[in-house]
Amino acid sequence: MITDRTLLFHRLAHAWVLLAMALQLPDADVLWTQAAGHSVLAGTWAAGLLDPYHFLPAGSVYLGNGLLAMLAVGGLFARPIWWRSAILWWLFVAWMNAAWPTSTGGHQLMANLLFWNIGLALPDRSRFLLARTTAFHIVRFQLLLAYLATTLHKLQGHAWLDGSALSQVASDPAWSLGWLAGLPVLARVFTWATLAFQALFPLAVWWPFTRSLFLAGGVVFHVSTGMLLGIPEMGAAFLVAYALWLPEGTARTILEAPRAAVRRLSPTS
Amino acid sequence: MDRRHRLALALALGHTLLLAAYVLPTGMVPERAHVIGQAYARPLFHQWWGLFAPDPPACSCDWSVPGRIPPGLVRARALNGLCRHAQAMPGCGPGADTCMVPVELAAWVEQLTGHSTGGLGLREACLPDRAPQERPVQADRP
Repeated sequence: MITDRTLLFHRLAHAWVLLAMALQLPDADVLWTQAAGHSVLAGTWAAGLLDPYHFLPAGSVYLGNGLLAMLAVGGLFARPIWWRSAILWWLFVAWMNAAWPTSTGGHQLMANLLFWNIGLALPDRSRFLLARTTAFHIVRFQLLLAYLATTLHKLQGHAWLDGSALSQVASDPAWSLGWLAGLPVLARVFTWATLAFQALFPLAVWWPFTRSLFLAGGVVFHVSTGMLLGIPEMGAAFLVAYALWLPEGTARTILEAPRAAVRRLSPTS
Repeated sequence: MDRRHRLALALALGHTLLLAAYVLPTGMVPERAHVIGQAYARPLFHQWWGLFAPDPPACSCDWSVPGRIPPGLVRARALNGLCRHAQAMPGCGPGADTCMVPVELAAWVEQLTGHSTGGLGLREACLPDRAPQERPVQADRP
């Protein structure tokens, strides 16, 4: 039987795809008409398979993304089915590779999560148990690896250790953090808090109390950075991955929240 | 924990270790492991976790065009990403008089800005004083 947190993960992943598509829609006339420049997979075995729009006629991205949107909407309501998840993953990766200059780490994270979502959507039979369990653990470890990798990359430099990193980011007009440039002490506190959160997350999730604390902190962190830095897909992708770290009861509450809200608003109740 | 669960955990750990060999800083991973990780992860499981790391970029990066660039969150992000890509190229680094970029990159900037590359420039402001500098962009025709 599919667990509540797996179902929540599946639905959030589909909602994420719709969010990413909605954000690109205003620029679809450029981004979806023609694949960007050269193929990012050129020279690998996967070029034709995972980057088909570089070989298909101009405008085919519209067709593929229409199907992708339909599958994403369907996934919000239907039970997970592995072949539908596989088509959704393939269409998403094809789109991401066609519009690669717009991609963020969040898109890459989702490409990985959607691949393993195929395993999670396998039928509820004992012969698929190994694949389903492996996919479950891979998604969980993927989240921890992302935090570990970003921490280790940051520890290679100086700005995150001496606390000046976010002041530097704030002084770059490309990011909407100008307000922080005039508050060096706050910028230093945010820099170290970010580093501490990312460094400790892979350890904190193994104990129930610290897990709840870090998941709640992570929601605040990813929502605020997603909005303030103009990369909402990045923050939202991490929140999708959080679903498999939630207790079953919390996942069930979140799944039932929309229905409960409708019931509360209904005049007959 | 039964045998099947232990095997699933071992497979997941193996996959994660191969990804780690690909995404962790190269100096921390033996070269041979990095090559194996790259062969495994690059086509299907590519990911990059170096945003603002090891340090945030010392220079801002922006395109300058004769007119106005159409607004849009994703468009602005794409233009910034392409600008960073150009900035990292040997023919466009700090100190160069002009910025030479591949034709494909110039064509995409042209589409996203809605202007021809004729009047295109790369504008940057570097630490410590963030004094603005601009140099013309030229498409590198093969």
